[in-house]
Amino acid sequence: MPGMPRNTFLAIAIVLAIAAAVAGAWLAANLGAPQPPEQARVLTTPRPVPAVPAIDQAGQPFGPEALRGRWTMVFFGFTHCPDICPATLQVLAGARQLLDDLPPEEMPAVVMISVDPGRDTPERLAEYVPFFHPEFRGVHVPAANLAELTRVFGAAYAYSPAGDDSYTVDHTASLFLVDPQARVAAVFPTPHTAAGVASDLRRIIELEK
Amino acid sequence: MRLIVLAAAALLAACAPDQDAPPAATSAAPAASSAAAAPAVTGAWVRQVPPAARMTAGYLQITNPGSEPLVIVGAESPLFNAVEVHGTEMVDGMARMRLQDSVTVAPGDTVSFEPGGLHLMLMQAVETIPSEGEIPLALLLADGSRIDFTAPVGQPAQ
Repeated sequence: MPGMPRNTFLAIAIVLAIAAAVAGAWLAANLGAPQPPEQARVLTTPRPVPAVPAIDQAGQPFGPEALRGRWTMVFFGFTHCPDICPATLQVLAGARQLLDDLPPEEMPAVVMISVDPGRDTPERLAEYVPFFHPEFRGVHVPAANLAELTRVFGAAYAYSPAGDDSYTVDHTASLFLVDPQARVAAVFPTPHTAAGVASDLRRIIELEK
Repeated sequence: MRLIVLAAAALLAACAPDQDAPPAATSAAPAASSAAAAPAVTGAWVRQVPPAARMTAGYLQITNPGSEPLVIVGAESPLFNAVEVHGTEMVDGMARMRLQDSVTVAPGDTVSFEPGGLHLMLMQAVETIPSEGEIPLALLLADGSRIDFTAPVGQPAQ
């Protein structure tokens, strides 16, 4: 390069070399190895979902057989819940939208398992859960079998009086990811955002490829 | 990719300064008594819920510009037979919702009623829970006064 001092030329060359190295490292880190999730905790030993009598809002059996073959996000909630349950279903609807580009076989299903089987009949769940997304399903587990199921997920629930003749349900608000082998594979602790849930779901699905 | 996600997140954050921003503007009509330092309700909204829902929740921010603590002891709405002030707490990952006897806003402070925290629990709808429009609400204060305001029905911005 005529007219350019040798030092300037060297400086430009060094800067370009560093830029290329940084870009290369970034590409290697971001395109090569899949990233671990940021908030979700992947279980080192996934736990098989037990077969308990349970039906979804359409009356179809819900259990390991129904869970096999695709990813499923599970939330434990109830319909007499004005705050955290609709908020979480709303977040899941937002995450579902952010994942719209996923191929159908990778798109996680979303189910809310009711921790209030006394009031949440399958019919009631059918009127409530799909409001947030038409593909979301509610699941009814008989009271006698609920503890066995929640224990495997590491979830808990407890009934607490509210008002004169009513009650509310304290419940684990974490989200659980069930893998295509019908095993609890990851836990998403609160607080949840649509972007955070979608991003971690993407990463976990990518890790398992 | 991460940069793009970050940029997108920043953009989203810029568009929605509050994660659960109200779906529309709200109007507050503080009690006419204390003209100079009237408490102000802003950003109120009521969650749009499925028609099958028996209850919903109202959210808002309340600012106390006065020199005395402002104590909220209840709430009401002509569209619901029962309105209670509740708080959701997270204890070891468990969501627990409890009736609050009172909520105090210290002088100069703002208290947010927001998803996963304080909320107005709207129960026993006189007819059905509105799926759109504005819901008239009032906060009842310990000194016997009230703050009337309306809150639009909607979904929070993501």
